Amino acid sequence: MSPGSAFRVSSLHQRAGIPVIQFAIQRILRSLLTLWIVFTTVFAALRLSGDPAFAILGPEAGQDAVASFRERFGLDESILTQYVLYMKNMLTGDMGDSMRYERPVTELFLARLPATLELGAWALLIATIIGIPLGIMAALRHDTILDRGAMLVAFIGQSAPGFFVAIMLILTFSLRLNWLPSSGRGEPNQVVMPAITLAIGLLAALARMTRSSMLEVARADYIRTATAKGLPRRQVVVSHMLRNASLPTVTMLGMWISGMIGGTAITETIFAWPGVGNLIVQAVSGRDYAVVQSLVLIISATVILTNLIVDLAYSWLDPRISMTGKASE
Amino acid sequence: MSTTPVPTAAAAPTSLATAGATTGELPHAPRRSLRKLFRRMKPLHMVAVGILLLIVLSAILAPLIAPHNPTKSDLLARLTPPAWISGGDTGHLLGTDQLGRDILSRLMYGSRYSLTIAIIGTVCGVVIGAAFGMVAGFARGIIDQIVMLIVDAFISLPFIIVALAMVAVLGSSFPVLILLAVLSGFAAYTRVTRGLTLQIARQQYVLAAQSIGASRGRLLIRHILPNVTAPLIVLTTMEMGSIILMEAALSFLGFGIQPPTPAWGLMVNEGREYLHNAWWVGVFPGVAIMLLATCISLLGDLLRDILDPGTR
Repeated sequence: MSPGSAFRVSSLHQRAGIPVIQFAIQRILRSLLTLWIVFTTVFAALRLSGDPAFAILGPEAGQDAVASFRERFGLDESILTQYVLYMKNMLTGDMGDSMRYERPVTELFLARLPATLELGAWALLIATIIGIPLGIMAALRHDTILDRGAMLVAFIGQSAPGFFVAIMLILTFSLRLNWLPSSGRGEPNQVVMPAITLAIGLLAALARMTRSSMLEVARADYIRTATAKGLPRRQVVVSHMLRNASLPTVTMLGMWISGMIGGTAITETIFAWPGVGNLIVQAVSGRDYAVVQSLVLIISATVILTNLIVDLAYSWLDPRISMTGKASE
Repeated sequence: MSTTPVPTAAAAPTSLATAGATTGELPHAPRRSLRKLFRRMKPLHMVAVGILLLIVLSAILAPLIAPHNPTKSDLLARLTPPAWISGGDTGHLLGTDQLGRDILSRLMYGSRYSLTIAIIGTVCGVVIGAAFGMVAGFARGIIDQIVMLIVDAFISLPFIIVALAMVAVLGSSFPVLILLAVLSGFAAYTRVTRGLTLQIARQQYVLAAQSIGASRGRLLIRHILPNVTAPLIVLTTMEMGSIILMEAALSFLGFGIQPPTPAWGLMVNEGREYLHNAWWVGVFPGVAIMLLATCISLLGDLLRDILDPGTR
């Protein structure tokens, strides 16, 4: 994507002969189709992988127990019936019951969601208030020690495995300094380390992305013009460069937020943070198929929806971003 | 891969157009690149290449140079600190773990798993992805639509979720990890190759070759493939780092390589319980994972500067 152009808002326009509305409809249909593919794949994969009854009840389970389990979860029906029923339930918002906890998946999910959102919000805050200024600073001091140092740190931050960052934080702040608790949720100080862990990767990516889009924008003609007509440096940076460089960064943030619900799995597991990510890991360990399948669907639906919104917003904002596959040539 | 999937330039955009734009310029010929590679290398890159060589060598030579058997426990020597800390033993340079196994030897053997998965995963992923991408970009029409629909569906999921779901279905084993490694990059390779193929297929020389009757296969292999390799090599290097992090994360969660195999992620997990009295058990393997991933990324960065200056 070319950040320099992305904020050029134009009036409604046509591109490659296809009007925006038609593009929007196409794009929405495509998203629905994608969601259906994910849905069907998940359904098929879980049905093909063996009988959940044995996974949950254990190999020693008696015939009666298995039969009543199958009936309870509708596994005694034909695959096609199960598929249709499942899709119908999904469309009405019924995610089915957890095979292990015997509670509705929706209930489990909603109970865990606030914790994940809280964690995500803190991580987002940390990453943005450090990452973006870091990227701007590196771009403005391009090719100096400051720039190189910041980028090296960002580089390492991006390759640092989250679980290792978590362990180093626990080692330092919980075990050595005894400043912060190493797990749980409730006290305000319990969110600090998980939030930092979750923020590191995004922070690094934001810094690098902001820097490179700033550098790209800095070469644009209108920046030279703005400088030449005598605008103060600060004004050039803030109102010309930053604004034009911000779209890729905003996109990245959008993508991160949509992926966050699943992306917190490792962080939440390490810090025993009772969120959705933790729930997925538990469901995978416990072979709780109903939960795995519903959560995968919820998460992919979130991501697909975000992508759709981002794409539509883009097509609205930038006439040069095309509406069809043709323009990607 | 950090805990959160941060979209990469190649993987993030869903709009077909933005994907094409990331690889906006036609790739440069990969000739002369080796000489350029050395000229462009900064000290940091040299360090990275040096560390990579060291890790690769220790993986290959592990049976010859590892001081101890990586799975042999010695309960008398359990939790021995590294040699330079008081109480350390020069026989166990990096100390021992909770079962008295030598950490340095375990790291050496462990690198074999990380590297094997990363290499097989990347090579298979790029071959499959490039094949799909070239065919989709060249054939266009319905084939293109179907391939891109699958790719879009794939990219729309955070990979860790795909991985966890697959582990739930298939269980955790070495082949499953390889499969995941292949899948993790496949969609990105397809997308990038398709974008480039669409671009290249319109070039004069391809049209010329076509007009004198070159077959489709010949066009793809002789004219298109050589021009997509450079960006793919760059992408491959980036993906390799994330495969290593993914394998480590899964093993850390207990869904990857199973004990007593000395996989790095697993070692970090085992070290968690001993952080308060024996930090070295978990910290050294963690450092190893980070070093390997960082060095591979640095190499990718260097390659990108040289092969694909447009995306710098």
